[in-house]
Amino acid sequence: MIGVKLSASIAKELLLLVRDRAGLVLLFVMPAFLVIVITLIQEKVTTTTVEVLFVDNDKGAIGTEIRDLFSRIDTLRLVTKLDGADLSAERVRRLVAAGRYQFGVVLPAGLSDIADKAARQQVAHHLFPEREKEAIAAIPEILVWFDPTVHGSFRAAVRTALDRVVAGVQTRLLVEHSLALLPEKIGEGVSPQMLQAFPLPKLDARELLPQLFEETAFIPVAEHFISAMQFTRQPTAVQQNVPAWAIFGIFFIAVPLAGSLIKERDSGTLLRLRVLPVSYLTVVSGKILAYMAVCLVQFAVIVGAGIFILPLLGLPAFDPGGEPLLLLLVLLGIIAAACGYGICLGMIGRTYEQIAVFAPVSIVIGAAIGGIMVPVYALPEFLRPICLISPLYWGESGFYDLLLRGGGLREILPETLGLLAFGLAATICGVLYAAAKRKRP
Amino acid sequence: MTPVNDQPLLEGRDLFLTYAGSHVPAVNGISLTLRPGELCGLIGPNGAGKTTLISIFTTLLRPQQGSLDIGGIDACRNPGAVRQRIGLVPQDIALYDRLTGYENIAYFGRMYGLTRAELRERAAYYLDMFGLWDKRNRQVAAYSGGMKRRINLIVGLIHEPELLFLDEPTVGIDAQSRHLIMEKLAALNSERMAMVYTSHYLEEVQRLCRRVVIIDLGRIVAEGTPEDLVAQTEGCDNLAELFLKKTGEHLRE
Repeated sequence: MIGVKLSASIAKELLLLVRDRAGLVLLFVMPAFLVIVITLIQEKVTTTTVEVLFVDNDKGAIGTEIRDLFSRIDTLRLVTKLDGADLSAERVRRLVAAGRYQFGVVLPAGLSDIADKAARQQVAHHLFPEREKEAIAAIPEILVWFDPTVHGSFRAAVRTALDRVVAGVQTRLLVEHSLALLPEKIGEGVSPQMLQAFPLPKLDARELLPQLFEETAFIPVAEHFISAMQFTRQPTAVQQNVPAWAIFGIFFIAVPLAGSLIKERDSGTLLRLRVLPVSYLTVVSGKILAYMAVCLVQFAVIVGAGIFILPLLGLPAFDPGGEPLLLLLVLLGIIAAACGYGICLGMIGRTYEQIAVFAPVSIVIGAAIGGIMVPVYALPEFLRPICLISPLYWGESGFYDLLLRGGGLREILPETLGLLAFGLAATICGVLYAAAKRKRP
Repeated sequence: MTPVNDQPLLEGRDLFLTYAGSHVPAVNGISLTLRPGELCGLIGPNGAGKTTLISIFTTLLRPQQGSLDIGGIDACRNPGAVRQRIGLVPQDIALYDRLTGYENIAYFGRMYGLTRAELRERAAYYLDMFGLWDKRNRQVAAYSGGMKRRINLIVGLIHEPELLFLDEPTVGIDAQSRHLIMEKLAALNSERMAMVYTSHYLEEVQRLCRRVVIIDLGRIVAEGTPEDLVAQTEGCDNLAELFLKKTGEHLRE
């Protein structure tokens, strides 16, 4: 008897699920889509190619060697030309500062000659300290420019690759000069006749001069964060993660907002609201403003945690920057976009169940393709243009412009206006859809 | 409430509305006049057009043809002005579950522009009238069905409209609650609040309303006092029999 009742209950629930076709489709499609997107991103992020702008002002052997060694690293792709023209250091600086590329490497002019001379001097100083008194030539720095939004792991990966390449070049130079000078050192006090009679065996410079190879790193590499403005703040994971995940949290306001609209519609409260002697716009505006206030508090809580709690856990404190009004402007843009999205979903969604699945999953996908979970430059190449459609990406860019790149109003305005426009467009779409639906029985 | 006069409070002429995607008019040339203080029962089978007609009267839908004046105001052109003078008690319990009974009343009262003092006074009056004063600070979610119905009614009344539309306000409640609601509606009507009352409980309509309008297929099929209508129709002893005679016994849905 219990079995019959249980099977009847199961059949009823299945029927209810099947009847909400849109909800059912979302139930299957959205998680599947989520799995595909996240897996794709996480799978490809380790194998994706990071583009590095490369300027060779050296034009010598070392420049060629560094380029060759770099090009053997699968995860890096050197870009030496853009739009058919060779890159200049200034252009690379501008592109990285604007956040269009995340990495730039500039080899200084004369690097090969000076490094070669310095290497010879290094070996000579080591072998003939009494004789060699000339100061070692100062080698100009290899410049590495990073966008401040680059996450630490990617920065470390590029820097490690460059260090490996530079170390290889240094070793080669030292070996060459050691091999050139060692015979002279060994031959000191030995007659030329003896040397002729007993030629030296093949020498291993590393074995003979271990100290030289261990201690000497003579080609300097200087790492700089480049931003549009004068900006000296060291980007940290905290500085990158707090604003990024705050955006993610703010967008989740769309779920209760959409849910509240659907509940109002289902309970008949909407009907009552529509016969009030105030426009429905006023009613919806009140709702939006209330939810916006919640988002502001939510952001304050997240920032507060970044400032006060993270240091207690041994992490650097989040720095909200020195432009609170501009920060608020970007924040309001993000909140407007999130609320607009919620209004749109609430007006279009037919059941709470549909929204309960669609809204959070769509936000997670938006975050995944919008650079919140994985930086955009680390996304698979075909996904990178798609990130531009995610308002979460615009919000992240706005925050990064302000908090990491040291940008001002001019830099944040495009993203902020985009977010506001998205919020407005989503709201209008939702309202128009609902109005059209009301004309049907 | 505004001073009493004999001008029609509601005057709908040749109202016509067909929904998008449908070929059958939901309201097909209905004309109806209501005077201040009148209590009109609007009955009809499911799908007859009652809800659509109420939606037109409450400015939720705009008729494609015809005109509608409420309190001398063109409701089609100036729905905002009309809404201040009408009230709606929907069939659904259109309340916020997580707000208390008083908070629900206060919210809608404020939206009708009541001052705090007016709101306090009226809320106390109606909460007491409907036996809910002691429970005013409980969340609606914790109310019984009858209590929810009574709060639903108070919310529609709080701005003291000249014309109140009641869409099946006694569905699903016990005899005691129904009795109280009917009694209080009659009292409010005696204070010259006009009402349009729809219900499938025909004995309620017969008891409460001095005028009945029966509609079917978007048209008025009978109109008059319940007594006259029953007397004029052969073989009918009450409103229920008259209803079936006028609208047929076949199922509509």
